[in-house]
Amino acid sequence: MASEELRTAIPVAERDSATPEVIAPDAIPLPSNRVINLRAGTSVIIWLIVLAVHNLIPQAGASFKVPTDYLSPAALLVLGITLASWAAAYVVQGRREQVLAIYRVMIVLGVALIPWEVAERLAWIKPPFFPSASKIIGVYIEDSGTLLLSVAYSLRLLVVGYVIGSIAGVAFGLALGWSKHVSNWSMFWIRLIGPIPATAWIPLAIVIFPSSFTAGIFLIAFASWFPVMMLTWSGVAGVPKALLEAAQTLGADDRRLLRHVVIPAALPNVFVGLFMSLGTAFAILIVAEMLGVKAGLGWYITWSQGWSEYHKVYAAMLVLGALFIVVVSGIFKVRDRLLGWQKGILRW
Amino acid sequence: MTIITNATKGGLSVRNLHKTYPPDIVALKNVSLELAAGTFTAIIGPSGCGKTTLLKIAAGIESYQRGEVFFAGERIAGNTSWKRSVIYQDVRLFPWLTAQANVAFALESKGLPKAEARKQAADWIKRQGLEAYADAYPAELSGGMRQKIGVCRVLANQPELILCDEPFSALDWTARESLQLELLHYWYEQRKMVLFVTHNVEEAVYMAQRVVLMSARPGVIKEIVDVPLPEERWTVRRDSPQLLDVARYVNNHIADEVRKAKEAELEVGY
Repeated sequence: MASEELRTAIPVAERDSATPEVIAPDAIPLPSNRVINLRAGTSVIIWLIVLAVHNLIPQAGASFKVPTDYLSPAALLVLGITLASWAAAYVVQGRREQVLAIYRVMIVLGVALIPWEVAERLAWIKPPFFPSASKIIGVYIEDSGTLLLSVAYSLRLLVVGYVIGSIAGVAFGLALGWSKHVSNWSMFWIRLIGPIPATAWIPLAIVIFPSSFTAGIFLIAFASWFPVMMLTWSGVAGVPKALLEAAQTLGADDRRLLRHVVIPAALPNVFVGLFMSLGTAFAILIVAEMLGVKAGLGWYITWSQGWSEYHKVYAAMLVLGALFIVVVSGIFKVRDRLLGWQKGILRW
Repeated sequence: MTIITNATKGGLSVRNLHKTYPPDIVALKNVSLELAAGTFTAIIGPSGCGKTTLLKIAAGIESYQRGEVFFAGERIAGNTSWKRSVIYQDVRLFPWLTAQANVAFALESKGLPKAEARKQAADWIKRQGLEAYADAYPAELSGGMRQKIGVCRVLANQPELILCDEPFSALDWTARESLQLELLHYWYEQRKMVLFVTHNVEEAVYMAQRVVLMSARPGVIKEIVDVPLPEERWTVRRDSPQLLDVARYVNNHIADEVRKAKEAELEVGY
């Protein structure tokens, strides 16, 4: 069998005769004119319907004081954006995917707004619990100062707590994964203490920490510490033995193994932990701001609820969502830089 | 005491090596082997004969129960060093490092300063004609290219003992041919010791000066065959009669071993 192979084998004298190539990623075709026109047209029609519903249906049970109309300008703005991006799709062809993404959002938003506006106009749903879209939009204009200040306060609390918690989580996770002693000694306590919800620490946090701000930082840090630590730990535990052996047989010592093999190999997991813990950190943020801070989105929500200004509650909720997108995008930017070698990672 | 002299001179010395995997799979049974410095030796045998285990023990990434292993006077028992580097069948490049950074990693691990390692890595990449792929990540390279980098990163370190664990068996014919010649030239010029584990008879006979034949479980060394061909192996035709003679001999031996192993399994009642 092998000798047959031998006989057919042709001696090749040149070295480096193999010329394998770098594999190029597949090119994705651009969306066609038809798709662009269809989506843009749909968006325009839907938002014209929104405008019509809003302006043509008479308000049932109207009060003496007519509220400022913010929906009409907003709808016109959306129409403007739709038309501008329609033009952009033809001028800058490479941007067509992004233009389509805008249309998808606009269309869904418009479709949701139509029944909402109809119900609002016919007084099927009533304020304050179910305010009109116009009122919610109005919050961003009339109360923008307080809202911006709240965003700044919330971001400060979130970032400080989250960064402290994440650094602690990564450090603990590395120690647990790297040293058998550390994991043997602390496993029980981590299992016991880690899953205690951060909110359960509120009574203790208020007593220990001098201000509600520092107590809030502790709560957020605690909430983000546990997921980051567990994911880092599992990342370290999952480092392929093959790669550790490869590094060792090239002469790497323990320090190099940790720095150049264990940490990069665990990094994808660490980022999963960072992403997960950000969700918990946001939840705790709102709770922490109920401990008596002077400004912040959580405070803003509680405060508005107290005055029965539910339109402000919803406006602040949307800001929270947007804030999450911004923070996660930041984290994912860092991740994409560090994990550029990985294919098919989750986009945000 | 000739044995000790051999080991201290830079050779590999394996004495009464015994390795059992739990629960009771005997991978190596009383294996003794003396290999002088600068030799190119192939180890061949049916799968499961413990040839890879022997290689891993020499690299220091596998433990053993009894016996002694020395390389260049140093006792090997789970201790790794850049002096004993392995070219793996599954390559094992670091996926987060570019091709060139993988080579630089090896040089830095050997103890070179960062800047010097980077410079030498670039030189090595260039010498192998791989500049076009220097900044590519392993995932972007084909299998043959990856192993080229894998070989490059070991050779760049200039280890005293190059351990090859079926390094080219997953490659296509052209890539295998090119890397075989690469290794042969390197060995001829540098005279570092090479221990080459393979299950490919043609490869073992074509590459090595001596071929160690091992039997199936438990792993025992059956015979050591000298390959009576010039050291400039690239001048030898792959279908030359002497080569074919040795290959036929080795082949028959392995066929025997495989048959025996089958019979033994039948007796046990699998």
